[in-house]
Amino acid sequence: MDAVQQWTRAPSAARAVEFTGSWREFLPIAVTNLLLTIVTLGIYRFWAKARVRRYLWSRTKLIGNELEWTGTGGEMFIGFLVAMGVLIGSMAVVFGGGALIGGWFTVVGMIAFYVFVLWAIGFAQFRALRYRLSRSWWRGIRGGSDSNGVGYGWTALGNNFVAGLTLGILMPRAIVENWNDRTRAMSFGPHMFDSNVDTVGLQRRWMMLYAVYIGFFVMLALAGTDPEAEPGAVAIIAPLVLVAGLALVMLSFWALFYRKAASAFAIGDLHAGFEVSTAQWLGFYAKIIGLTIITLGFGTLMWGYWRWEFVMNRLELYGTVDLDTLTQSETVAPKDAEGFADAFDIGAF
Amino acid sequence: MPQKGLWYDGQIALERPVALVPEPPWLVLIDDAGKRHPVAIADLVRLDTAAGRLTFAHRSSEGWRLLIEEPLEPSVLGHLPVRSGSLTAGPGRRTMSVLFGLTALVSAMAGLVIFAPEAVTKRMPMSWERTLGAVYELPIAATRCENPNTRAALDTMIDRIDPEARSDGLTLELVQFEMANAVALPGGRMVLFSGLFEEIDDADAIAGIVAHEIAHVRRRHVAAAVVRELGLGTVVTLLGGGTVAANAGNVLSLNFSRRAEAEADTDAIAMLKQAGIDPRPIAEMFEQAAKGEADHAVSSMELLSSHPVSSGRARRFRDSFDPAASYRPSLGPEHDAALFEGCQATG
Repeated sequence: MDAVQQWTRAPSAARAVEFTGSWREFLPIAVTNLLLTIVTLGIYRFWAKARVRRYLWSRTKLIGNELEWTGTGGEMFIGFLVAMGVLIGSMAVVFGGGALIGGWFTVVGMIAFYVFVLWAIGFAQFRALRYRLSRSWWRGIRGGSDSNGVGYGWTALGNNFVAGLTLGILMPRAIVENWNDRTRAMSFGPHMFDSNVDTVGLQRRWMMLYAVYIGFFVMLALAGTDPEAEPGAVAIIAPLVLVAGLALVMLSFWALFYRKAASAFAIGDLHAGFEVSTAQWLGFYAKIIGLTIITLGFGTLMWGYWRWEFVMNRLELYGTVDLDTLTQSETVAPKDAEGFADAFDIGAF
Repeated sequence: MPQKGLWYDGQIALERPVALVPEPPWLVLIDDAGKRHPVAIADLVRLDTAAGRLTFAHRSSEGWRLLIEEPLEPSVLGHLPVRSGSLTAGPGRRTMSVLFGLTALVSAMAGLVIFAPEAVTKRMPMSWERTLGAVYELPIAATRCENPNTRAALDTMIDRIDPEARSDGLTLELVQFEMANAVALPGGRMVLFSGLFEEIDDADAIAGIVAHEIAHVRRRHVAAAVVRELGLGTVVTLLGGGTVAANAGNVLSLNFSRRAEAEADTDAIAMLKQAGIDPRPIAEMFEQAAKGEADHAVSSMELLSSHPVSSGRARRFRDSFDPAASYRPSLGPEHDAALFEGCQATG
């Protein structure tokens, strides 16, 4: 029995990640999902999400075997209700307590609630990732995490707070640290994930955001400060340049981030690669926006599919998987699904 | 030739080629080493997967998967579950189905009430409407101005126009209210306001108005208008006996749809014709009102506000006049006098 499967960088070898879906299969799913979501006043979206994932996972092969998604719409719906209940309940405590006890309670309560929400954003991201791994199966094995994400919520809040103190300049550090912390807490089967992303190159791209802002105000200043004057061409073009510039900088930032994140990722002896340049991302977005315009907006139904297809067709895996040691995960399968992430509308898959 | 399959036991990521031998109630998986792994067929759940392959899961063993690739052996497949199932527990799914059903039902009902109140309310029992109508007893009782003579006049008039109306539970009342209007309330309650008699001096015109209101009641326009204007929530509250005083006034501003008004006119014309009442006085009333509208004058005929007036409406009544027909006044002289004195006599 061949227990070791090896995948190398050799161009002749079959790709370790294969996507075998087709838009003809996906479109009927997307359309029925949309219709059912409308008819049920939005409640169906949890089941819609489960259906989309079941399809995408089942059409994605890692090293010769399909992934399987076993999450259900019902558990995501309940997770969402619980998270909404907690949020609404704590707001009720703050305002109700304020009315009964007095103003100081409202002030303290509001601050506590604000901190709670900031903490919960990190917590939610962590729980969502943990949930997705616990419902993703490959060769009868699933992923998960032994951490409950409470501690991560505080570290992430701390990192973001430091970034905030520096007026956002240290944001790349926060993003990278949080990503590493989150990823390292995850596992598949008995193997822990590893991630060692650093900020090299990212900081420079991030600083370009500030350059774009400064450029924008310089342009406005050059256009003149006379409030009586007719708005010139600069006043119309400058905001467009600002938006386009910010979008481009963010795109180049995330393009580099995902390249770094993939190459800094490891599980056991398996490494990843995702060599997609800013220009390729730009081409991708130009394509899907173009297709959306041509289809009078109906293309938006396909965005999730296109994005998954784009990523899976470019994601690489290198190294070996020792199947004899890839035993079942002993992590607890969480029941809360993506409740908090849904409550805060933290999207993606 | 035995059916071949690939088996993952959910404990380790190893893929085991197995031969499948059905021995009901067991399916025996025989691995390469010849070892037998029996599994209860009843525990197998078929999952939806890509074409050209079947995937089975095990009810109590997470991650357990059996993949059967084509070509498929009918002798083995005959023993396996044919329909796709789900690993989710039954009750959860049932609860979800009920939730879905309820959501769909509520959306459908809301849709019907928003888009087709008339279609819905036509099927509503008349007893529900009477419950709604009872709400107005208090304000009507406080302003009712009737004596035995006016009562007799009102009864005579309604009997002339629609002989079955009273036995069908329709009522016609007169209240002291300085507004030239008439309303049809839920539950077949029709109310004439005393202000009407200061604008109109012909009982046949009043008969035309009453015929029009009878038509609104008979065609269930009232219930439709209540549902549309007050909203379904109010109707539910009313039926449940909730507080309604605040809403009572709203009925005075009930608006019927244009189609409903046209229907009521058609029926009123037919009723007047059947009863042998001259349609010209009511036509004249509409003409005067329409003129007022054309002049942009503020008409004292409040009837305008709730009953859209157009020369077209007047013309329909006018056109229904048949020179060959023999018309009789809607009320005899003594009833006529009693009706027009109605409120002065008591007030």
